Amino acid sequence: MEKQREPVGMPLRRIVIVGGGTAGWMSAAPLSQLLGGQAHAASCEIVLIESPEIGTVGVGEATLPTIRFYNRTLELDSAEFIRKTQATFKLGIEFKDWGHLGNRFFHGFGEFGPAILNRSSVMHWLRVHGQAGGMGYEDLSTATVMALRNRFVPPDGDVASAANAYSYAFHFDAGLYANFLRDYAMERGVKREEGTIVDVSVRPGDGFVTAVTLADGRRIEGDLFIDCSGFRALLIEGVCKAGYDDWTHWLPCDSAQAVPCARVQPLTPYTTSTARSAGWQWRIPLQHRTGNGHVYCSGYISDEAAGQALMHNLDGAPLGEPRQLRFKTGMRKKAWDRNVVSIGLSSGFLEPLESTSIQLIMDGVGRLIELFPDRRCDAHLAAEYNRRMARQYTSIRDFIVLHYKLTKRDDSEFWRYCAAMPIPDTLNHQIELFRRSGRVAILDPDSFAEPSWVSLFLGLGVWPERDDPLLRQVDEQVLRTHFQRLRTAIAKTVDDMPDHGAFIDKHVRAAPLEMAKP
Amino acid sequence: MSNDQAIRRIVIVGGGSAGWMTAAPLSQMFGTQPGGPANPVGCEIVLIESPDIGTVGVGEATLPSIRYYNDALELDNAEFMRKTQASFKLGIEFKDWGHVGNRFFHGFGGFGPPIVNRSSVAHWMRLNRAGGMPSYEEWSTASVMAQRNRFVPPAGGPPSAANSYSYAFHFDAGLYANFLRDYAMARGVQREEGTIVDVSLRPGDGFVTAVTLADGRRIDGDLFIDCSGFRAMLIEGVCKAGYHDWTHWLPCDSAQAVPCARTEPLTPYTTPLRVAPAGNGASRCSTAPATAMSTAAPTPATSKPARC
Repeated sequence: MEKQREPVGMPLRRIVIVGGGTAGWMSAAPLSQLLGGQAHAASCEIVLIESPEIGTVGVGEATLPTIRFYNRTLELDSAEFIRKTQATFKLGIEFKDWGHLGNRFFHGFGEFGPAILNRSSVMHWLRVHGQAGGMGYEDLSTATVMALRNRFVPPDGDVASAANAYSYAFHFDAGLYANFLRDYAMERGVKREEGTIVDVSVRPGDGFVTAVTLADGRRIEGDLFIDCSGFRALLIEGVCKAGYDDWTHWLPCDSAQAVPCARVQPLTPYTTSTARSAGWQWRIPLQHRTGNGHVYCSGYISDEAAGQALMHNLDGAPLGEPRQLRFKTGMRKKAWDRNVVSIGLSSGFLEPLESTSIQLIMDGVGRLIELFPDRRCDAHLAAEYNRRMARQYTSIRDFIVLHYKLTKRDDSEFWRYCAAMPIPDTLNHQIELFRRSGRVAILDPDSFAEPSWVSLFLGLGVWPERDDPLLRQVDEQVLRTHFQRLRTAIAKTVDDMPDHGAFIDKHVRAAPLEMAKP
Repeated sequence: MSNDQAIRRIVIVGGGSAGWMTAAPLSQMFGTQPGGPANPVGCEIVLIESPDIGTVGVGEATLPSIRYYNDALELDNAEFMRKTQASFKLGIEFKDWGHVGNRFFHGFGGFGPPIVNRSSVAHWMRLNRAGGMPSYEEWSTASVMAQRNRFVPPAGGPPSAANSYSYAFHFDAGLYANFLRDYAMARGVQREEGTIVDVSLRPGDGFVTAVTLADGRRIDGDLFIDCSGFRAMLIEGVCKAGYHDWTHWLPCDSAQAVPCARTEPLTPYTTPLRVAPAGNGASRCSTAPATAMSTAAPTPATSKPARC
């Protein structure tokens, strides 16, 4: 090798995670797995600073199926994880009153049957059943059929069949999940420091953060700082001034109120999102209670009215008063700047309409490990990290804007704004492409796949104006028979599945919360 | 959602590699074999080839994805190789790139399986920091095979040194086009000889509706595939689609190509000084003097260099 190579020997000595909560502990856990243990050559200290004055919201959080890969990588015990976090299973999201009042559709984890001649099953379905009505395409999605009948069992078998043509995620108490991962991380050597940061030391010249000082005078030095301080963005904005892309003209909701209520029967294996006059309401079933929240735009409804709407639309007795949240939708211009990496809400905010908050945390820490720096924190590593985070953020943004833009509701000022608002060019291309041809452009392979886009388009009433000409390769009668058989096979398979609540009670029932607390 | 707007005729303008490689999969999808069952998505496919324009045919190198293309067409591998004078390709040997006297190999395959989610070659670099490691190319099966002129298709079974590589082909592009021409014409593609002298456009949206040949024949179509090469007869000549000029990044603007007699051994790789076992070409920036003949032909050339 002719080229003179720089010596190694500048590995990180200490990583400082600023902030506990979901982002902080979800970052600490995989880093502790990788770097914990003094015997290992790659080891470096990990310190997490958590302020005792700041609580967690803990009303329940919904996830995407990738959460299972994250848990598996950490080698968590699935049953223990479910019991400790009061988790339930999630097969997708039920949307109510989106598109138009009285509308209902499901965005499930899975396809609408196997592809036929390289064309997605649902496009063939549209050709034979699209206009006539009759069989609904949701009958071809195992996840959706299971969800509507409140059934759950994990996918089974090696050969592709109705019994495994779906995936699943979890609903869990995010506060309990953070606690669970805190125990995991601390067992692997992460040091937890309680305290509130009052000062930050910056190196002259390059502006790297070198230390933070706590209110009691303790000074904590570090080589890499992970900013999990939430909306405050203490380091990434407060010190680095990384900047923020404001997306509120596309996603005008800026407030939320959250409240848990008593659990009711049946235990639904899905999240529900119901559109309201100036936003939407989530319902997330957990084992011990149901999480609820109203996301709204404060320009179109008062906090008081929003709170009333939330409380009037609970299906169980409220367990407390609504908790108020404010946010500004958008993305940090540089998620990684110098030796500060922002993970979680400090890196940006997208409303939880498609359960992407935890996904963005997982991918943030995953990419940090993939692009793991030494003490120099090379700017090119940061640039690659930022490129991929920005691509994912914008792709999820487009998907969420779609939910609003395609509305036919005109029963409120808010919905009239959404229907008329300009949208990003990338989304406009996506909508027109589907409207004209049924095709979906995948702009980010790390984000939502074709069945997700199709679920939303069809659910919101945008059906392709023309069939893909190649669909005619398949005889119409053959197709009708195929779909009838597929539908029967799914219905029969789901018949034999246990009830979601019964499955949990039998295998992974959590202790009541009081007993679950340490 | 009516289908009365289905394409009735596709017109491919130009034969050669692009024309026939386009015609073949389209004929598989839309064509009908004589006496075969009606194709529910069938449409006419016409390819217009000018008899005045020859093919270069000095040998063409490919990437492993050529095999997916051939597989999709359900070609007989052995027949394809025999009919196109093909040899196997494990990668490209680069000589005098970087600096004069330099040599390295860009092979089809990695340098060993990743270790703890980090690429094998990154671990090699770490060990080599102190020096003394054999070349990283020795962990690339494709590279080691190529250097020793060995070839056998990858073995099945679990990942091992015997299957941690991929391969492509070198073939005579003219013969490959002929092979695909036979394939496409057997599936109903109509070949028309002629030189296009006029193009008809629809007023309003500027869609191409027909081309007229020198002998006066007019060929209508709903979709035109421009395989006319550098001339870009329709896409530029008619549509004025525009061109991104990248010559400030890639200043070469000329090439000379000539085949020579085959020598031993038959190398299973491309060399930028010798394109394919019997095809040679030199690409250059026309402001600097060079010829393919003087630098590249180890045996007497069998014809004069073709300029392009």
